[in-house]
Amino acid sequence: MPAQESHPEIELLNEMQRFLRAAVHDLRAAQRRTGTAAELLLQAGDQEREAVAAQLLQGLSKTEELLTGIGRYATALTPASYAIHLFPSISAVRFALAHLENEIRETSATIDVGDLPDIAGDRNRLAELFEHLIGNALKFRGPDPPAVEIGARRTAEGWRFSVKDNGIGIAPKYRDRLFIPFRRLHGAEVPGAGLGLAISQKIVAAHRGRIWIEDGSPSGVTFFFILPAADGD
Amino acid sequence: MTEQKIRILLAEDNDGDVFLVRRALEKRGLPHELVVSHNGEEALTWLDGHAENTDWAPDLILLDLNLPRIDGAQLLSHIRKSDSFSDTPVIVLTSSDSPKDRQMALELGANLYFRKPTDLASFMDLGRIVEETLKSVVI
Repeated sequence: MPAQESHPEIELLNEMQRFLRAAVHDLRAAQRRTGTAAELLLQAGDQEREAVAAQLLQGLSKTEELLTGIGRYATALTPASYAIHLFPSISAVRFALAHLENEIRETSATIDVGDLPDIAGDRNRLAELFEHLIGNALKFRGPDPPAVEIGARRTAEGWRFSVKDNGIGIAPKYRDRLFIPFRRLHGAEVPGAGLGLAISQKIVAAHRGRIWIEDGSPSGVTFFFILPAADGD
Repeated sequence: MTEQKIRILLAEDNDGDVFLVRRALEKRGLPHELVVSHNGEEALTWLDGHAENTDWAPDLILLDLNLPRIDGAQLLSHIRKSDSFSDTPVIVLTSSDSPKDRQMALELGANLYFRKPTDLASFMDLGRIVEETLKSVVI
């Protein structure tokens, strides 16, 4: 029997179905936490109230985190909504670093930014991309303070950006699922909805580029993404 | 006389659900020791490390299907193929109401499939279910 030809519309529908199923699963877990905590609160004596109220608030916080992530994913999905202009990519990095100011301070992180080119792209979306990649470098840090290096190199495909860290790294056996929405490698000990890299991939794809990961040296990982060079570049 | 505690391995990444499982066991009055693994790889490592340890073997395994790294289905398959834990009762915990997931879990050898409810009273029923599952495997 001949293999079925893949149809882009069917693939897209399948992707959306997987996304929605995973989103419902995680939202239901947050709802369960909030709802059962509210019931417990009504029953609780004074001593229990603090522990149960904490559960309630964490459920609400998780729901908010998921809804924010889902909204950003939806925005990243539609290339037609991107505002493409030629701009210095360093400004996207600066936006990202401004949003991560608290985390950078709290982790005593050093961020080393090399020479970055002018590129054609949606500045806000690319700032979000850098925020996800740098944010992950801070989140998945090792015993030493995070040291993040951001650079770019011209290749035949376009501009190859890199975000290198010295963190805990990602075992190769888990890399095939890194960009799948809601697929996390850690439990609740690491905050996040599990959407950052999925969103990053969509942003890069909307710019007709690609993103991948390689081992860092001596530790951590380096995320690479290619953005096509602007016309005339 | 020291009360015999039930030894339970809980493979669950959602700490809200860990809280509810502990609560369900306490509410049922089941004396227990609970070991929690937050992802499938951690659970696998723990099981492999305790395979020869007859001093502490789980009496029951509670297993979420949707685990980071190694998922619950792979973990269940490993448990059923192992020499040490192939007969250990396993209750699958899941938010999924998909008949496919239920069938898959039971085909892989789960003793029971517990769909995590959103109301408190139904979740607390897990305590009774654990007790009855353990009674059903006692020779």
